[in-house]
Amino acid sequence: MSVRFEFQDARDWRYLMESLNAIVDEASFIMDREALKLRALDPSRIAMVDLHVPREAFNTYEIEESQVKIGVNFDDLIKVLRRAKAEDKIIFEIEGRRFRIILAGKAERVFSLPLIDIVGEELPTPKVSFDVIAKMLSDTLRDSLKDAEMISDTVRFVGEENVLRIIAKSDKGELEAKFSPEGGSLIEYDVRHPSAASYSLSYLDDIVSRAYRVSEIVTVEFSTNKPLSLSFEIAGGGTLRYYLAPRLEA
Amino acid sequence: MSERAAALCLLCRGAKGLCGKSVCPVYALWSAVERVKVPKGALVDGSSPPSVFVGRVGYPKVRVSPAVPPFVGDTRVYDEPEKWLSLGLSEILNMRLSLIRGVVEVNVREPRGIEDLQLLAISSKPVEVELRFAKPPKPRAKLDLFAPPMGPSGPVEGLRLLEDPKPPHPLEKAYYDSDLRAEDAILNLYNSGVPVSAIQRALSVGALGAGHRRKLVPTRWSITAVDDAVSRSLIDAVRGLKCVDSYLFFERKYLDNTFVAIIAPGAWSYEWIEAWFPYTTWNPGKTVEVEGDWEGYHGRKTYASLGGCYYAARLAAAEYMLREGVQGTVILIREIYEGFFLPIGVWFVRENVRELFKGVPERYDTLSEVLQRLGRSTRLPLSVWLSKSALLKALVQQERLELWLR
Repeated sequence: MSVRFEFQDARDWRYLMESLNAIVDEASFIMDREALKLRALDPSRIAMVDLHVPREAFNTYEIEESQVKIGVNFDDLIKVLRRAKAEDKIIFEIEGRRFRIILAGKAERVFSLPLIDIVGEELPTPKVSFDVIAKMLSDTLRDSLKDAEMISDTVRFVGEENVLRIIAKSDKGELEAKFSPEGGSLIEYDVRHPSAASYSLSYLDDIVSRAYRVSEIVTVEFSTNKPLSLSFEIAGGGTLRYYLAPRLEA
Repeated sequence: MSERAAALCLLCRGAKGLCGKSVCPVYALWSAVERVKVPKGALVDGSSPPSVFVGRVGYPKVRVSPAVPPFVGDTRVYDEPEKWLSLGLSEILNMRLSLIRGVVEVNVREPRGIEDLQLLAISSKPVEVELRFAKPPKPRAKLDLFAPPMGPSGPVEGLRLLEDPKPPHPLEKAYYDSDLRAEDAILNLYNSGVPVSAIQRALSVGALGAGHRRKLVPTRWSITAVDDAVSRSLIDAVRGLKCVDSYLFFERKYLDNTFVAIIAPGAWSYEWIEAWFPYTTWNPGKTVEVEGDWEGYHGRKTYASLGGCYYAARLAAAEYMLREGVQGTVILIREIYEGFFLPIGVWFVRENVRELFKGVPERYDTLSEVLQRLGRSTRLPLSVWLSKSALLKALVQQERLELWLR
């Protein structure tokens, strides 16, 4: 196979890869004429990541075949990406089994990594309809999750008419964070039915503490006792989206 | 329950055997302490197992104490906790409390001048040692939270090795390799079959690590450093294994302790819970105290609240997973009952959990079956575990995304 694509900002690409690493240690990208994609479940099959970066988001985007699979180990990949300096561009080249990563700044540094074979499964999009949709600053969400972590390992999202609450409770105490369009903490807010669901904080923290660097804005979607969706728009085009299965509290 | 136990001991005072044990646990301790023999003169000559204890008080100026029993012979087992489960508690105490420690003060960052001590500590066979004390040792035992019990001690003026220490090949190699980082050395040694206790001893005397960065590590810290480093590396490998396909249950009862483990299908994650019944080592109060800590698939970044035992048990759990070639969600529970009031060392947990996992597990198809089994095994009811265990709670409450992928 022969593939080459260039992304403007190597740091941003690193943040994106670290965000995927919140869910999987290794996975296959699917690259076709239109976009670079990755969809994978975490080992416990509780969370899913769904990445879609269209060709327009890249400086150059060349592919000979109609579709190729690029299997990577994220630990190794991220180690290389950590070497990137501000204003480095990043270029990926695959020739046969050779996978090269080029950090191009003042100097051009070429790293080679092994491609790995991953027996992947084809995953459909989760079938969920969302009754609550909220757009907010990803930093704000991250902060309230950090607050909640002091209290509990589970967090409850409650979507009411004009206010979204994030609640954590345990014998250590209670936390409630309130967000509303009026207060300015929600950029957009749409409630079809008032809903509430609980989710694992360790998953949420793994996801949000990395993905908040991909985008300043996150779209939070959920329904009563159904999966949560968190979407981050990638600068330059594309979406990084997560699905997280709920916890059913007694 | 607690009042009853206390009342029993009050009525009995070691004379009537009311608790049903063949040896009164209170007396076992005191008689062992009473039997601590102090050498008459200022010169002690004996075979060090080897044993070297590094204190932490006064850090970075710490007290280092090589120890010998007052006789020559094969004393290896005196400092080899891997072998101690087959001995009784009082035998272990007698053995340990007969070790006489000669104390020298050393700055941890300047391990020069203690080469003899280092070579002694990494020997795989007992070494005859002569300790010359400044004044006769005090007849005082030392009990530690992490390290095994120790006998009397006194400041030492001179230490002489009367025979050559014989370090096993991998340890000798690591000792003379001043480019090898301590963590890599620890893993190499473990992988070449050096017992964890010997690696801990080597690390504590500053025998491992990159040349100029070598320093002494108080025994208590070195024990946990080795448990942590080795288990982290094993867990890296475990994370790539396939998941167990049913719920496994393990149980072990030993010396007023119950150890149970549940391994559930799912990604690697680990939890350690201790329930201290009243009047035990760490619970002088009247109610049962339950504490636990856990980590998810990615491991942890902070020190576990329960300290050494958490890491020692995690090592034993990771060893099991790797041996069986599976990963899973591991919940380990330990109940400590009224008779157990001696701080005896982290080895007790490591070796018991290793032993626990040597047993053949019971297999259950459903979570509720294995939870019921747990409830029958422990003295505390299932409801306590369900409210205290983060991982059990997650198992009961957490849905899988697959439900929405069909």
